[in-house]
Amino acid sequence: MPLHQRVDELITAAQGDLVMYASPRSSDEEFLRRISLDLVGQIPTGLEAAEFLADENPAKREQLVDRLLARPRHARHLQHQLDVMLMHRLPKKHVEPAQWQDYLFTSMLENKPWNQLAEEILTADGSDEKQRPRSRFLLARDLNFDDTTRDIGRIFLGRDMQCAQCHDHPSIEDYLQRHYYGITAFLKRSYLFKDPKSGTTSIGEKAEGDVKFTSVFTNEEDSTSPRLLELSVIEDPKPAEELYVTKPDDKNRGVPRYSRRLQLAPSVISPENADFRMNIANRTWALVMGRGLVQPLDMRHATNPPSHPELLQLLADELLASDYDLQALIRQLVLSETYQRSSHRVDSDQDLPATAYLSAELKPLTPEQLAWSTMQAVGMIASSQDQQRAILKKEDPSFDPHNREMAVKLEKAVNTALQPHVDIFVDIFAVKTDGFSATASQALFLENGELISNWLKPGAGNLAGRLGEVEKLESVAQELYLALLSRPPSSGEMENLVVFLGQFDSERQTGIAQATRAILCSAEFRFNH
Amino acid sequence: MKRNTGCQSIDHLLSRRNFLAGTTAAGFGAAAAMGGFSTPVVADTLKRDQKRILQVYLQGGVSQLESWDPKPGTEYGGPFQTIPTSVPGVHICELLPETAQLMHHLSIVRSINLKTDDHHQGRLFMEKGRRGEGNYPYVGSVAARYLAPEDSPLPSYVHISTRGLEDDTAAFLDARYGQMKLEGVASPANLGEPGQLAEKGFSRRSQFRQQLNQQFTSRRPKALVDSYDASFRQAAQLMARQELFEKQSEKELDRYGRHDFGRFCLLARTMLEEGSTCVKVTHHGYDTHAENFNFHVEQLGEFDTPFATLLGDLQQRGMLESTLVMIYSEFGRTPKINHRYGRDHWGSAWSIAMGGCGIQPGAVIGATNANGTEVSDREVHGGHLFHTYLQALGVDSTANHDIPGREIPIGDPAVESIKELLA
Repeated sequence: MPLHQRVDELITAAQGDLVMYASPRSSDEEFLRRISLDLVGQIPTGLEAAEFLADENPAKREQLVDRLLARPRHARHLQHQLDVMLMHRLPKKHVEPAQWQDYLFTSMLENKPWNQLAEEILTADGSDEKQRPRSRFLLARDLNFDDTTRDIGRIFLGRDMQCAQCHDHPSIEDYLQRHYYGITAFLKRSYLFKDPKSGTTSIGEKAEGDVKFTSVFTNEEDSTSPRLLELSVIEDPKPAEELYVTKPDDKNRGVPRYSRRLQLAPSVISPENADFRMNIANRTWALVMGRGLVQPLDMRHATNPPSHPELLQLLADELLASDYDLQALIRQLVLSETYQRSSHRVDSDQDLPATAYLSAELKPLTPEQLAWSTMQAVGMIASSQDQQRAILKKEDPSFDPHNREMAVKLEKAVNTALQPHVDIFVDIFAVKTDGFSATASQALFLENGELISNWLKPGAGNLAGRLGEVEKLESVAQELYLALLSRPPSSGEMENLVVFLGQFDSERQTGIAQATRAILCSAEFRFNH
Repeated sequence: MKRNTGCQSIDHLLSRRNFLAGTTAAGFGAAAAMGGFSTPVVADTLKRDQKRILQVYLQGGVSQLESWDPKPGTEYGGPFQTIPTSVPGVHICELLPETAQLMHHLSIVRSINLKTDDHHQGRLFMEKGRRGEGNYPYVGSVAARYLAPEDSPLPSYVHISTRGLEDDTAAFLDARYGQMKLEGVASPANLGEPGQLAEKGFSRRSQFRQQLNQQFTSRRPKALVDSYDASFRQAAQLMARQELFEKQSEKELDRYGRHDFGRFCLLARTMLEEGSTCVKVTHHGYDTHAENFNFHVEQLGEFDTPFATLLGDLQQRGMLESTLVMIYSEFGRTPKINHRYGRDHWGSAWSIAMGGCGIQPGAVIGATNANGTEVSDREVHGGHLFHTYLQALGVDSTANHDIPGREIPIGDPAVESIKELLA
């Protein structure tokens, strides 16, 4: 049985009597917009929407999934998501974020297995020019032992062990102080080294140094060698005559013959370490479903178990068996009925638990999704694609965007061209809290900001320009809904919009700009549903 | 060196017992329990009286010897004299004559020891009540979260300053409780065109948008959309009150002063009157490593009248009993005077002043020794102060934050409020 069906079986089994409240399958309109946001990080064009909705092929959903997965834009979307997961939007330090992001993008284009990506990130020391981008994870944290230990726990193991730094965690029995220092022990001998000639910072390591810790509750002192959670201690081998490949001094970063830090990655990704695959299985689920089977994502422990333990185990096992193929897992998840449920409630008065997966959750658009979707809606992406295609064709008359390599080139060109706009959205919408928050500054930006105002001015082939030429208000309304909300309006909605536009009489362009703006500010646009 | 996180004290152990007693299976379903705290965070009675905070941040480290804890005639006392204040027996530096006359509304804490001399660390400690870089909300965001009414007519936490970086003040609280930075008295960005025409356009658009949202939520859960709607209401309020950021009254500017700080204080009063819960005003320029005395004449000269006017106005308008007022820095300054006639960073024996809501006025808490080189009585730090601010406002700082799935105490469980300061 394919994985997506097994997912549905387990979800339905756990619903019990609540199954009567399960929402029906999403409409094509709901599905189209949701899958586009979840796989390529942006809404479809009005034309793509109309075509999909008109298509009568019963297999069209699965085909759409495969089309979207194949686009370079899918790799770009995963880059955005992984970047935030790994870096929490830390500012630039030692390594240029754009290069790191490019490394993630390329990795996702190749569908690099997650365990390989984790290994590369955790072993990077920044000394090799070509591989330097991958060292951002450690270097942007300045290899601070506390921050790095905590983040390795949260991001790779699904455990936030911050409170276990000074003592065994006061309320979570599974999080022990020696777990915390077991990870620090991998790092403790390493240090930041600034090359006096080049000024570049990389990671060096000494051949000695131990980790001791005291519990402030019990005052007991303890020590630990590198040890990942409950796995075996990793003892140093008997030291050789010569401890160093390169002795650490003012001019050279230390490279010991035996590196504790380089033991970290193999320990973390080892099949023996179940937390590694449970964590990524949970996070991948959360990516498309809107919440984890363990929630919060970094708080799995005995008294906060997964809502569906068998299911999480199944997903983790699948990842292990598939060599950590994230995109294959994503594909299975979005083909499930669980994912494809409507977000309309059967009975909106009932307070039903989100863990029953009876309906799809609203997911606020990430700043990147919001930026790219807004630009898509108003026609910025299409015009940038036209521009860049023309440039690439000029450089190479044989340019064919159906060729994968050239499609990637085009995507990169458009991405670079529009990135400054995305940066503005990120500045305004990126928040550090879990979950959704909306501020007055954000609302003011959407309502009155000049960036969007400029996009609403009629220009070469953009939405405003196209609609200005359309005679009938009903047709304007139709196109507005398709372009902005990826669906046609209902008859009631059509009426409302026509009335609204009618208020502007001959000032048609103003009416269109106002309507567009209002829809861009609406909840239906702001959320993935 | 052992990291001092305040975990060693009996208070923390007692709180640990609270943690263990109250652990719930967090994260299960939408109705997840709020964690194991035993007392509600905000008493229902609070909702009746709207409480506020005024924070006056003297950035750079005002010298306690030139303000709240002068030591004239001693080795490090410097050239200035003291003046009596409206509180018998309490003297402050002569550089604060108008504030001195209002001391009966304020109290002084003279025994602060943060054990850090770093601007960044000191500032974070004073704002979050926790030492270090940990992810905790600033007191302004905590106040906004637990004191601002649901239909707050203005952003609940506003910071009036023309310099400085954007602080991430809300931490794990909703972003709407984060500070909204106002560039001095300039209007917030993107307020749109003023005037009737623009207002009409906005209102038409707004009606249409709300129509769309109603449709959208007709069969979907409302919580997220309500939160989103709230931000547009807040935005609309700011747009409607653009005049708050326009020309300030000439008469008032005569009283407050026409320099930046004067204008900021006047705007602060306006924001507090009009409904913001926490207003922070920063006065820059106290990091006097050179020419400490001349600069303090200048700086406190600029500070004294607007602050005294603001404090007086709050009192006259009956707002003082519901507004906590604090005047603070990130540390004080060294008793020892360096070769450039400056004083350097000094986190180990310095003062702040506070008053208003819930604070016993006219008190002096703690003391430093004769020449100000160390605390001699009632040593406190940012953690004690943080508890004190919140308890004064009626917020139980010993309880956990209202966050499903996590148990995070509001104040540092290792310390308590300064009980003698609470009215």
